[in-house]
Amino acid sequence: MWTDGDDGAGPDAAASSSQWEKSGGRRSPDADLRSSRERRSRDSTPACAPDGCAEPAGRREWLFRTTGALGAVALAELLGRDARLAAGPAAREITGSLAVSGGGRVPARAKAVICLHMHGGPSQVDTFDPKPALQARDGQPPPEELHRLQLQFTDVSRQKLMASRQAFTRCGESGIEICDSLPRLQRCADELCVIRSMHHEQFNHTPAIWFQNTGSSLPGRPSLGAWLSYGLGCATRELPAFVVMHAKPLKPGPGVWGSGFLPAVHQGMRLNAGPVPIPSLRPSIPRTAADERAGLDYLRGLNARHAAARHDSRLDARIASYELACRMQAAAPEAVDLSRETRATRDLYGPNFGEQCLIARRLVERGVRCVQIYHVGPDPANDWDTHGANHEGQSRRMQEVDQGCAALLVDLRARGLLDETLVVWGGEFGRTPTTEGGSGRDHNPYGYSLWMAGGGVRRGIVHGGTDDFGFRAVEAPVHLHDLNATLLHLFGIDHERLTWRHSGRDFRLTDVFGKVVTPILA
Amino acid sequence: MRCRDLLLTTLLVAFAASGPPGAAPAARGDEVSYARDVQPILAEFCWRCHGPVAADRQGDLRLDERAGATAGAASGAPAIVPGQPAASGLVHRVRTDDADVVMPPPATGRRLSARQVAVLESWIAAGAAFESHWAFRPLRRPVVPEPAAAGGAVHPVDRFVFARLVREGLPIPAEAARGTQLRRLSFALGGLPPKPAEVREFERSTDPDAWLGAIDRGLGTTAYGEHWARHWMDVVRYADSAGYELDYIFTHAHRYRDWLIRAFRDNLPMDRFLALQLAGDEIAGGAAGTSGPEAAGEADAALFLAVGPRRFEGGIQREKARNYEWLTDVADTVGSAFLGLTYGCARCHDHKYESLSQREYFGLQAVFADARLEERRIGEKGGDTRPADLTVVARETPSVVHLLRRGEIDEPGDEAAPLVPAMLHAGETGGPVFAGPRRRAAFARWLTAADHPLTARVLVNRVWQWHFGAGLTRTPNDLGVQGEFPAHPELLDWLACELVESGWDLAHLHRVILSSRTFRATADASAAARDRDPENRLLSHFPRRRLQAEELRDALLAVSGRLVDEPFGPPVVPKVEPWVLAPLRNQNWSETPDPAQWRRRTIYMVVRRSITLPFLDAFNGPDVVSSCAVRDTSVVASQALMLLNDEAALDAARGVAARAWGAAGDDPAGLVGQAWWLVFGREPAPDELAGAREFLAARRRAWADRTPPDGLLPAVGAADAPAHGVPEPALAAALVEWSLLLLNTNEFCHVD
Repeated sequence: MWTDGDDGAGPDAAASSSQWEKSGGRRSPDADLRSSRERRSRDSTPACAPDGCAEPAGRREWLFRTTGALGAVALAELLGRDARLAAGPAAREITGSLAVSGGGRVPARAKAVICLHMHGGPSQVDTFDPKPALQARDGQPPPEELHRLQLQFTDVSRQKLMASRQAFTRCGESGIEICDSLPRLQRCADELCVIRSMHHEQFNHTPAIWFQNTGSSLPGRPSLGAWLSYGLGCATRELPAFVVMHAKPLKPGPGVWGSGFLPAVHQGMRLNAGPVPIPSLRPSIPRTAADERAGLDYLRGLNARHAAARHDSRLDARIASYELACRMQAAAPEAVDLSRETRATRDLYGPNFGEQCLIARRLVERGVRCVQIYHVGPDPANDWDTHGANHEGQSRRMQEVDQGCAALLVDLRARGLLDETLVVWGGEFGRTPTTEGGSGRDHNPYGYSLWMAGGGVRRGIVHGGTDDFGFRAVEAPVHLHDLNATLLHLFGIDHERLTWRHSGRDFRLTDVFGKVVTPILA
Repeated sequence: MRCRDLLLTTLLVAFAASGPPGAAPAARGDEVSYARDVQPILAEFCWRCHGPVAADRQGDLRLDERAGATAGAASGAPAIVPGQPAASGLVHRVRTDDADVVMPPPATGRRLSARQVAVLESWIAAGAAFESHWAFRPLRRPVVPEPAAAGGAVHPVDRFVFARLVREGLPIPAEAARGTQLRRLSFALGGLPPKPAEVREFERSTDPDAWLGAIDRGLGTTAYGEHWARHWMDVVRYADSAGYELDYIFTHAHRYRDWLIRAFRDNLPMDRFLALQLAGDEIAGGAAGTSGPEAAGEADAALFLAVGPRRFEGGIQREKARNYEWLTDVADTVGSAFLGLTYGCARCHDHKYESLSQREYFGLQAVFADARLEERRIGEKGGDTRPADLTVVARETPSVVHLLRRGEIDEPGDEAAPLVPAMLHAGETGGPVFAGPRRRAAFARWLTAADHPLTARVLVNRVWQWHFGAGLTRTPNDLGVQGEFPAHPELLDWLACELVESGWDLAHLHRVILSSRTFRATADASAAARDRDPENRLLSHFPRRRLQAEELRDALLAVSGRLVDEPFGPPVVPKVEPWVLAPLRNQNWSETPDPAQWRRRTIYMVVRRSITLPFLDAFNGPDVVSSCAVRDTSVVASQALMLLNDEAALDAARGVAARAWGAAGDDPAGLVGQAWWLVFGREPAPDELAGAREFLAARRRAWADRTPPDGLLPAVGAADAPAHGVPEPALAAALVEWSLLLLNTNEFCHVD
């Protein structure tokens, strides 16, 4: 075992140190193994600035190396938006490649997106899609045309239609119908673009959540946040481009916010729920900026030497994570410190989910590209997955999120941020208008509701519709691929042009599908 | 959940069908294989309505067996006419655009890709041979490829792996540097870095048996027992507390953990290893704790049944409901961990994809109905904070298990007989029924029979995963029809035969795997490998991996000389920041008083279900609610913060600094060499030596006119380094800073 004195690094080992000089050349790196591009990156001398976490000069080239292909276009966008990075020959070089690759861009409306994910599947007929026919035929068998729909647990032909027990109100000038369990959100109706015709094919949570995040029901593809980070970079150097918050374990496990085959640097970073969102954010003993910079430059040198011949994006990502970590030490404590908000603002958002929404606003204000909040009830068994006691479960979940959702819209609007910040609320699918057991609803990916607000989306509209019972999208259906194409479009990205070559073919978020839903664009 | 859910495993499979070469690709020029290419398509698109579940079957057509698929259908042409794709109804219906005819029905929104249609056509053209699922077939030892086809390799493992590389036109990887190999081996067996002297000796040795010697030295140590017990603890959802809201401390769980460590250390045959966990009390001859230390040990093994989540809250106090929750946990875990099947999917309804009925699911629960957990609450402290001690007790009369409609306890159906699935017994109409006494022992005998198709395959795949980072199939908790088809199915079967025929000798299996060139290969991928095998499914190079959370923490303690190497015993409760404890309703966190105990190996740190130690949380520790098949490995800035700023890392840095100083004193080259050997297990290269000396000198100057904070001073007294005394503060601070950076390097945190 490893204990002092018997490990060979003791005095006798020290005695042999004179031989080290002689044998040292044995491990000298073989410079020929490295490409000139890598050598250039490694040899760049970092600038030592008063700010301990100032940008080392080599980083731009390093980013260039780790993104490549359309990443060059992507980075150019980042450079264009960030004056501090725009200067310098490297920037011009990369901007030059934008002109060559060009065409992947359309005018951008959104700069950031906040995804409010209702984990488990909210029920559309109990929230945003009231159905008079369903109310009228409560307890009756569903029409035969619905019998063949594949569901997770129930056979539709053996179920009964189940009316919603929610009351609905036409809200605001737009008259959008929203259930009364969302009283605060009702007052924001004129900000919303409700899509009632969402649909896809995955009727189980794990594949559906993967599909929603990555455009594929299979694990291993990059998530939307990773694509955005890759495509646009981060508008801040002090925080990650992609941040995830969830209070409880998720059904698919972690990784749905992963970077897949994109460079590992683009994966989402999770913030803890509760009082300390980022542990160890401050050193256990204080360091000056100069101490810090000196240390990190040395560390980066060691890591760059090690990574040079290894061609492994995870090693590159780890190098980048130290630069980011260093800058986060300065910026993140402030970014996640809600005590800096006024009492009125904190009261506006409320506790728990509301606090996460408030953190999300602070993050996008500071340049974070994508924030995801996964909402699960207080007990993991109590998420939106209401196979039993649907009415009670859905009502409680709505109470838990209503204040935070509404506060986010009101607050973003008041700060002039809503026009460039997209808010998306929805689950991995909806629920059946038919029963499961006595009082539950099964999963339903064939027609469900989702709302968006801000970020270049039309205000106060309802798009698309489901059949008489709210089961299938029939009017202007919006497939998940269409939604993802639209999200990228709002960020100024042509979803067919944002690609990554992997295993001999070009992959994209929308696979070979997806049409931008133009009627909802402002 | 910090571990990939087993459900995701059900998804990987379609990769094999739809294309990216990384997954489990067809070798170029291969025929269409039913198991690899066709079954995943049928399972994904057809079997839901035309599969094993009679109640769900549409149009009286089943496509999971040849007889059904080739019979003339009521609606016209047979679905499959072997040899004639054009005459096969199936081909017509997946190709057509006619909404009334096309399959799957338009309402599902699903469509086969052109490539998938082509696979079905070629398969039908070639005769539409159905095969039983690869993992359910009897185990037969495959023929090892000839050395000539495998680049001249001699070792059987290499012949399987390299033959495939040769067929794919990929280069056979070179061997890694010897020091790299030894470090890899040391982490693989003991979860700790090698001692510098071991590396030196191995690098110097010209003995052809030096590698085998190193393997044998690693096996049989307590460190090996600890590291492999920790692997197994992932799979069996180990924790020291009950979870749910009250999260009572378990006082019995560590006895099971210690039994695991000893079982691995002493190389208990794996059939007995599995059997004792299921029925140690029965096998030991009577109820738990009857007599003798051996019987006690075997009863401790059965505490496997008592370390799952357990609800003590009011609403569930009804004995019947609690018993059902317990049986559910046990059946689901045994299904995933021992059988590699998504058993739990058949609790509410017949399994949609496997031939696994709800009756068979509850049949597994009924096997365990001859036991119950006896609860004892210890101590007199206030009601909510007293720990619970659980024992497995055999029932004289097994409890009655009913099939439950939709899995709801209030909707009991027929009584369930203790039995196992018929699908694992080709040709029989039903699996064995364990009607007599000692059901669990009988089940264990069935599970560990030499001809059991799954047990050895599941186990061998896990062992491979723990050596290579990914299993031969990457869905280790699901070897069923929705699991991933293995990248090297013959190798998996060959190793499984090797395990069984060696008398379930795990040490033998280790020797076979670790002595291969495949294990000793370089981690540096060739350009061709990076291009054509980016996920390294073909093992074109050794998969580099980041150290797991426990390995990383243990390595920090080891290289800094801080490790308190004390095996076994009750879990250690380390000091944590108050915010970590916020989710604990009862604040029942009684710190172990002696801080030295906090520096024991991570396996001895308390595992609470309601909170996770921040270090484990940051570095993707395991899920502890259900069986954790694969650890996630993220790379995020929060990990960098943890290693740069956490007191544990700083303490390790002080230790490295003190050790280097103790050995080298104020000799710059000596200090660098010492630290390099401690942290990386190798000589510094000249540029590294120069860079380190320069950095140390600069930092020493930076501290010369400042007083370093106490935290930067290594805990070294004159007595520790009699030859060198105590370093001056500026050098001491520089040394600690520098050591911390070495511990943050990619080289230290990864195994190449």
